[in-house]
Formats: sequence, C-alpha cells, structure tokens
Amino acid sequence: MDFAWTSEQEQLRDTVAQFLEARCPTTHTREFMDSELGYDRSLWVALGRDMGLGGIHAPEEFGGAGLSYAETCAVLEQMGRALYSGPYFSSNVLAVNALLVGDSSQSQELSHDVVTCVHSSTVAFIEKSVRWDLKELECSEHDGRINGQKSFVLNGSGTDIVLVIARCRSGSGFGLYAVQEDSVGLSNETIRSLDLTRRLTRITLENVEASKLAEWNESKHQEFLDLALIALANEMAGGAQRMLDSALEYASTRVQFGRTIGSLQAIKHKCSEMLLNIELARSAAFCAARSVSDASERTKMASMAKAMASDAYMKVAAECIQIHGGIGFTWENDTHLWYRRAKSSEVYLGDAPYHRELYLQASGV
Amino acid sequence: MDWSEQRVRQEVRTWLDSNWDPNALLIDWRNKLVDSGWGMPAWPERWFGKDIPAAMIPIVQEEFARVNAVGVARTGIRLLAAETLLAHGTDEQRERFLRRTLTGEEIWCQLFSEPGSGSDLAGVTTRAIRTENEWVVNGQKVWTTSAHHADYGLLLARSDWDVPKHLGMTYFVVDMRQQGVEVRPLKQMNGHASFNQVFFTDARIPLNNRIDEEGNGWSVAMTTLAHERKAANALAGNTAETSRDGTIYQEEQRENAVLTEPYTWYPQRAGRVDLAIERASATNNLGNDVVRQELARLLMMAQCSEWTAMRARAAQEKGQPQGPEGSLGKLANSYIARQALKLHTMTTGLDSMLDGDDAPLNGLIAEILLSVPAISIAGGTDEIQKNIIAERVLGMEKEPRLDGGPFRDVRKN
Ligand SMILES: Cc1cc2nc3c(=O)[nH]c(=O)nc-3n(C[C@H](O)[C@H](O)[C@H](O)COP(=O)(O)OP(=O)(O)OC[C@H]3O[C@@H](n4cnc5c(N)ncnc54)[C@H](O)[C@@H]3O)c2cc1C
Repeated sequence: MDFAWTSEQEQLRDTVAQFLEARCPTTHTREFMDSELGYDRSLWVALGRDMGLGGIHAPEEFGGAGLSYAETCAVLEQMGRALYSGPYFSSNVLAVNALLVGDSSQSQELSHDVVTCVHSSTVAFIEKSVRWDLKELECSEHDGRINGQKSFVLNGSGTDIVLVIARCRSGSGFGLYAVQEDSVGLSNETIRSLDLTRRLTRITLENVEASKLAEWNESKHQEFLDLALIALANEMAGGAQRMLDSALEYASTRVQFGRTIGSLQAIKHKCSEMLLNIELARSAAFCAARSVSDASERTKMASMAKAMASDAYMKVAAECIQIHGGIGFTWENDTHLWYRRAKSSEVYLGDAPYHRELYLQASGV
Repeated sequence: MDWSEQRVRQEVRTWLDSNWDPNALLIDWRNKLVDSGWGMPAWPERWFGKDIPAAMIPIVQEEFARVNAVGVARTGIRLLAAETLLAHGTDEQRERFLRRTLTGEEIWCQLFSEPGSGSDLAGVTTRAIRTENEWVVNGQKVWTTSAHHADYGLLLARSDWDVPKHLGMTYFVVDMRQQGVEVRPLKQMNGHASFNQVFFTDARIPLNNRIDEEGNGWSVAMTTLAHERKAANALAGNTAETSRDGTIYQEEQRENAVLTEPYTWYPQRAGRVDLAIERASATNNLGNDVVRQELARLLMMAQCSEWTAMRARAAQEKGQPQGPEGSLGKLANSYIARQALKLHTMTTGLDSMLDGDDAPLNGLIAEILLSVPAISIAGGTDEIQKNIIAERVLGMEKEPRLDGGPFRDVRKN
C-alpha cells in the first residue's frame, strides 16, 4: 500500500477544500438547513457536474471518471470538514455504489444521470429491524410492484430516484430496484433528525411501480455496506479534524488569567489527545479507502475504519465544545452542528462496539 | 550515486552472496559489514554507510532477513550514541568511536537524568570544570540504563552557571571505567535492576572527548533524544529467537545475553500485544463479549498506530519536513501498552494476583502488569510528549516560564 497521497490526490483535495471554503461556509449551511429541501441544489450540481465529482470512482461505462475510491474518499474528507449538507454522500456515493455493485445494463444507464447530477438519488435499505444484513428484510417486490417501509433514508425527500433493496416475491433472493419519487403509492415523510445538515426520510411504499436493476444478495449487500462505511469514515475524519482546528483557533485567541487558554496545559493536553485520536482514525480510513478491491480485507478494514472514526469524531466534537466553554453550548456557535453530525455518524451503519465485533470476526478471531 | 530500488536490492544481494558466512567469527563479520556500508546503509559513504535514501532501508533489511544475516550491533543506546557522534562529532571522534560501536565492542549508556532534573533535562547540575588539560566532573546521574555494562557514557553536564540554563551545558563522552565513576544498581518495581545511580567524583574527561562546542550541549542532547523517540518502537521489539544453523548465531546469542540483560522486560513494558489473542483463547475468553470489545480496541489501536507512523514516513519521503511525529508515536505506545495491560488483566482474572513461577507463563503476565507503568515515563513522560505535540505540532502558545536568567539563580530541587 502507498502511504502517501499522490500529487493528483493532493490537488483534488485542495481544490475541493478551497471550493467548499468559498461556497459552503456555515452561514450558507445554516441558511439552507432551514429550507424545505435542506440543501442548496445548485451547489450540489456545481460539485457533481461542473467540477466533475459526481462519479469519481465509477468506471466510464457508468459515466464516471474511472478513478479509485481513494479519490472519492479524499473529497468526502473535505466535505466532512466543511459539513457539506447536500446529497453528495447519498446520491454520488451510496446510490452510485449500489449501481456499481448491482452491475447491469440498466444500472449503467441510470448511473449516467446520477453521476452528472441530472437526477438525485439515494438508497433505501434500512428497515425497522435495523439489521445491517438482509436477514429480516421485509420490503418485497411482486409483479413489478413494491410494498414495505424503509427508514433512515438519507435525503429521501426531494430525491428524484430512490433505489430500493427488496425481497423478490416473484423469483428468489433480493433485487435492487429503481423507484421514481413521484410514483403513485410512495409516501415520503421527513423525520426530524438530530443532524440538521443531513435529512432523514421514512418512505412507505404501497404497490409502487419499480423497475428491477439487478439481482442482489448478501455478498453484494456486504460490499455495498463496506463501501459506505469506508466513505463515511473518511468523511468523519475530516469532520474530526475540523473540530480540532476550531478548538485550536479558539484556544489561541481566548484569554483568561492573562494568557491564552491554549497556553494552559489542561487545554494543550486535550488537544494533543484529540490529534492522536484523529490521526489513528485517519490512518484506518486512509488505508481502508485503499483496500476496497481486496474483498478479503475490505470488510475488516471497513469495520476498523468505522469503529475508530465513531469514537474519535465523537470525542473531539465533545472536547471542542468543552474548550469553547459556555459559548460552545450555544445555538449560535457552530460547534453543535458538527457535534450533531458526529453523533448521527457514530451510530449510522453500526456503532463502534458493533464494528469492533465485526472486525474480530472478519479477522478470524 | 543514484540508487534505485532494484539497484539496492541487486547490490546488497550480491554482496551478501559473496560475503555472508554463518560460521564466521562475529567480530570479523561485523567489521566486514561496517566496511561495506551495508550495516548502516542510510549513512554517508565516508562513514560506514551507502548513502541510500531512508525509504530503501527495508529492502536491505529484507535481503538480510532472506539469508538470516546478522546486522550491526543495535542493542541498548549504541545507535543513539552513533547517530549523535555522526551528527556532532569531529572526524577524529568518529574515527575513534563509530566502528567499535557498530561492531558491538563498545557498550554505551546515556547519562542525562539526575535526581533533580528529569523532564526538565536542561536543569542538570552535574558540574564539568575545565582544567588545563582535561575536564573534571562531579555530580550524580540516575535511572541510567546499562551503566553497569557500559564502556562509555553520553554525558550532559553543566559547564557554565552564569548563563541561562539551556546555554550553559556541554556534552561529553565519558569513560565509565575509571576511578571517579561509581555505578550503583537500582532495583525497580518489577524486580529487575536495569537502571543505576552513577556518582562522579573528580571523574576525568580528556579534552578531545567534548562533543560539539562548549555550551552547545543542549542541541547535541536534542539530537540524541530525537533518535531515542524514533527508536522507542524498536526497543519495544521482540525477543523471539529462531533456531538457525551457524556458529555466528551462538556467538550473537551470547553477546545478546549480556547486552540485552537490562532489556529483557522491555517487550513486557510495551504490553505484549502479540500475546493478546493467544491469551484470550487460552483462558477461554474468546466468547466473552466484554473481552472481545477490549481485544478489538487493542488490535485496532496497534494497527492504526503502525499505519500512522508509515504515513508520517511516507510524507517525509515526499519532502515534507520531519515533524515531531515521534512524540505522537511514543504517546500512542503508552495508550496501547495500557490497553494491553487492561486486557491481560481481564483474561488472566484472579491469576493476576500471582507472581513468578506461580503466575501464568512463568511470570510473564505478572511482568507485563508490573512493567507497563515504565513506558509512559522512560524517554520522556506522556505529559512531556503532549506538551511537545501541543507546542510544536499544533503550534499552541508556549507555557510561561519561571526559569529564565542565569542558571545560578533559578529555583531548583
Ligand atoms: C525504565 C527507565 C529507564 C530509563 N533510562 C534512562 C537512561 O538510560 N538515561 C537517562 O538519562 N534517563 C533514563 N530514564 C529517566 C527518564 O528519562 C526520566 O525518568 C523521565 O524523563 C522523567 O523524569 P523524572 O523521573 O525526573 O520525573 P519528573 O520530571 O520529576 O516528573 C514527575 C511528574 O511530573 C510531570 N511533569 C514534569 N514536568 C512537566 C511539565 N512540564 N508538564 C507537565 N507535567 C510535567 C511528569 O510527566 C511526571 O508525571 C529512565 C527511566 C525509566 C523509567
């Protein structure tokens, strides 16, 4: 494995960082988090279409740039850092990944529109059992129609196409289906989410017309989840870094007892520990992003990356509030926006204890 | 010379093929190795090296491992001594010391810490006074690992009391085998006695054993410490001995038995992560969910810490300046060791009350439990590492100091 960024990756990372810094300050995020859609669609199109980030790791047949997952993860790290709130993760990562994993001529065709942000998309795969495998999946398809309920769908409202994973009644096994959001029988309910910058939706499907894109099974589902975990872990590493940066910035300006609080050892030691936690989590995320092609390693790496990121992000977000003192607990101060993201990311796709266990199992222990 | 990976592999392989002999005398082999430059390949050619980029060292190591060739002597702090002399010594000093240090003929110890100054190393009060034709040293050092075996010591002493503390120190190589040096062992909490008290009473140092300029001791000491932090991982290394054919291995083992005597417990102080799964299994704890959680935590931390070091190295090789990542790695090692200790206690259960022959693995587990506390003290405490990270990596404001002005007037123990 190459442990250094390539110059191209660095360039990509820096371009995205600069773009987000200019176009996506928290004032912008705050403005749109109260809007109906929850994000700025034009900004998302600018990123996905104009900057060509909509399908970085998708091969050309899928309309993508044909780069590696490491590049996608580099972009996500910057989005996590900037607390970008658009549907990049749900559409250009989750949905694109589902289409890649469920490789078929239909999924390739659909992918072109997702990659270029003509359509926004998301994947509906979590149900009330909240199991991450397919064992208790209830949502099912019969004669081209789907019945069931999906929850915790990221950016599910205002999405053009919902990719649904469902049991095939007509055949055996499972399938990946595409459903138009405005289909008859589909109802969309925005759930109030702790993370104000990532909308969650509950989608109820009653006899909704669906087109089957590909067969689905446990191993495809695992691959889909692994990819999602790795992407998320990288996004979380970026968010965690921002929390440290923000703490450092405050600590270097806030004066108490005639000195900056950053010159106080209690604060210094907190920040050193934050850095250590972030670096360890970042290493896991970095290496996981570079191991996706090796199926035997991928699951293990994905679980490690997620477990490390869950603990690190949560810890540094909490410490960042602490270092800000009273002001850190206000609505006005931006820290809570990241704290909310840290908390919801901590449990999304499985929390740290869950992934520690999976990691051991995947390591043969 | 322009080194490519292929070229390095080719050359080291050819050299080993025609020179490595598992039945040679250890000293003959080491001399040959030192002359060849393959013993310290990243060093300059002028000084027993090959000038190869640090990134290619693993290739050399691989080739040595392939034929099981013995390397230069590495135990103890000899490489810290060698690196310090390489960086700050005169050519004459390098001539005099480097070869015999690398061949293992000379043993070194590090005379930095004192009863009155540990973390605050710049507070040393051991006096070095220059007379007409030599230096005379009086004072006391403490926690000096291996002083009881050492031929030479790296000594940081105060040569000027009237300037600020960092400016009044001078660095020396002191001959440990002389009248004015008395070494008394100190028994540690884990029963071993690898460190010592060292008393200097009119000990003599020839003028040409001063390293770098008078008053420049601090910057020389910083070089030694930088290498120490880097070596912290290596010291934690393993004790595994493979049975290999050849008389040179027996000789090496005999050498190691003496040289590594103070270090036999070092792997234990790092927590013995390598035993974690084995112990969980042997104690029927692999089905215990609480243990599994702690085990996974440990394995992940250890793995991620290794990767973090590799990322730092890779970034350096791409031209980014070397930062104090050593401190981050050292801090990580403390957390890993403590997590390992926690896990070993959980898996060992009530038997953690036992010691020696009555304890699991003939006392090895007990030794872990009693040795881990050293890791966050030796070589700079965790608190000091955190200060370094905060001030030098994160750029946080320096602590206000109360020890400015002439050292004579600074508050001391
Ligand atoms: C196994 C072992 C081997 C060793 N081998 C050697 C050797 O070969 N040669 C040698 O010279 N030394 C050696 N040492 C000494 C070691 O470097 C010192 O013990 C260490 O630097 C701490 O110094 P101290 O013991 O005087 O503790 P102190 O410096 O008195 O520290 C006491 C406590 O105060 C804290 N503290 C001190 N200063 C600060 C600060 N600025 N900010 C926050 N907290 C602070 C420390 O972290 C610690 O918790 C060895 C030590 C051990 C345990």
